[in-house]
Amino acid sequence: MVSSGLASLDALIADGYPEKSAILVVGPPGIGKEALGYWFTRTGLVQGDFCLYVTRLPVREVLQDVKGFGIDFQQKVPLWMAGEGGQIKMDVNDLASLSFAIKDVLKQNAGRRIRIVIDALSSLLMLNQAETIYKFLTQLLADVKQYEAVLLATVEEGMHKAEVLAAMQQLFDGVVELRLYEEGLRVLPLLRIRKMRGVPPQPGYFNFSFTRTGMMVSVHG
Amino acid sequence: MVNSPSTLIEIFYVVGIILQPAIGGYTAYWSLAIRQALRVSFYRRQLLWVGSTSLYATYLLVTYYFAGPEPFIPSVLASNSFFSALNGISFVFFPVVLLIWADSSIQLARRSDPLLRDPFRWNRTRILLWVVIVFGVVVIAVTGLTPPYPRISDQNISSILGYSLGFSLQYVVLTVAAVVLLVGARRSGDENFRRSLRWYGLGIAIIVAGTLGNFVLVTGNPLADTPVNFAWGLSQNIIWPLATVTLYKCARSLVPLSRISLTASD
Repeated sequence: MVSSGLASLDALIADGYPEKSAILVVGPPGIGKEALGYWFTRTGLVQGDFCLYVTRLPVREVLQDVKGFGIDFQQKVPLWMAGEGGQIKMDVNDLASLSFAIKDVLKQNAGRRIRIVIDALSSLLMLNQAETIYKFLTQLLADVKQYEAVLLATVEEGMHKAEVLAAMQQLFDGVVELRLYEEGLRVLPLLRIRKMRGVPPQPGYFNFSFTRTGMMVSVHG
Repeated sequence: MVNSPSTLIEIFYVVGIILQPAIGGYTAYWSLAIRQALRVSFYRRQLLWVGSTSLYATYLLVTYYFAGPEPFIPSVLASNSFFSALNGISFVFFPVVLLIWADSSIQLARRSDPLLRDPFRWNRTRILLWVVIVFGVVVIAVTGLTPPYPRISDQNISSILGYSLGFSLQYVVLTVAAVVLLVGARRSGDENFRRSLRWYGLGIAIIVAGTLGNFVLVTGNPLADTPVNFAWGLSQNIIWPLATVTLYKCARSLVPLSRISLTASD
């Protein structure tokens, strides 16, 4: 198993994400989906894994967000494929280059454990036909599974059609859902493991909150 | 001038003073409750300013009631110069509150644009606009913001020019920000955010249209007769609570909220 970097989340999914898997994090904008990617990357860097972070944002903006979660990438940094400031330029309009660059990185790091975070799926879905993205992802996930790699992608809830999101979830081995729930006069951020390869289905909701040292999770209700 | 107000108008005031803070407080509560559940600073800031605008609108209306041109509730308004000053200051700063919100919205619009375009180089333009709007505040403050809240008709020519210049600068800035925001919103890929902006826009439109309508009403009939007072009180009690309700809808529509359901279909 590959640790998510968050002990409380690992406890819910049998000690981490499955080997050679692809995980999708779904949630509304602003809830903190990216934090799962940040902790996943940070833990990988600490453990000596090769980490690739794919984002349409400039690196400096991601680093600001990362700091907001109490994480420091300054000591060890991932390979950035970013809109600006990364080692590899990320162009959301050029799926072919993106696919080629990720394959290239996988090849160059064969033999190591690889962690890939893609925080650009919603932008890709907005700029391309959904079918094009399904094909792109199907091919990418097949490539990833040829290596000792785990891929974690985030996608926004509320920005895409429900059927697009449902189809997207079918492609992934695990789906972590973050949602805002209204309960009386409160708004609660809740987490649910919709599916995870090798883990029995978990119907329950969990309260969660991010802290400077990770994430706190407790059974809701 | 009205020296003995009708009971109906008194009721309007009392209802307004109770209703508006209730709606404004409820809106601010929900804005902050949703904000607390979020982690990304752009969204948190947005909700903070929606909540703040609703409280500010409440503050504006309540001080306006207490500092009305005529003391409809004499016991409260025995020394209304304090409320007059508060109300005067709040009107001068209202454009600043709107710019803070617009600034935050434009940055969020950029962030939610899949191509991350910066509309009209907002990161630089905003600095100039901030300088201009603050200059506008200073001009108004220097030319006549002294209690009791001065009315333009009571002022000398330099005050009138100062007011005109200050408010013109502020509203030019807001117009520029509104245009930039419209462009940013069109580019944004976040449908919830766009829906939220539409609610906010509707709220501001109600305030502007209502304020202009009242201005015409009061200017044409400077509170000289009861029917005008009646219409004025009624419109105040409709405009501000209605605008605050749109802010409530604005806060609630920024992110999708679900209700707990333990059924498998959820």
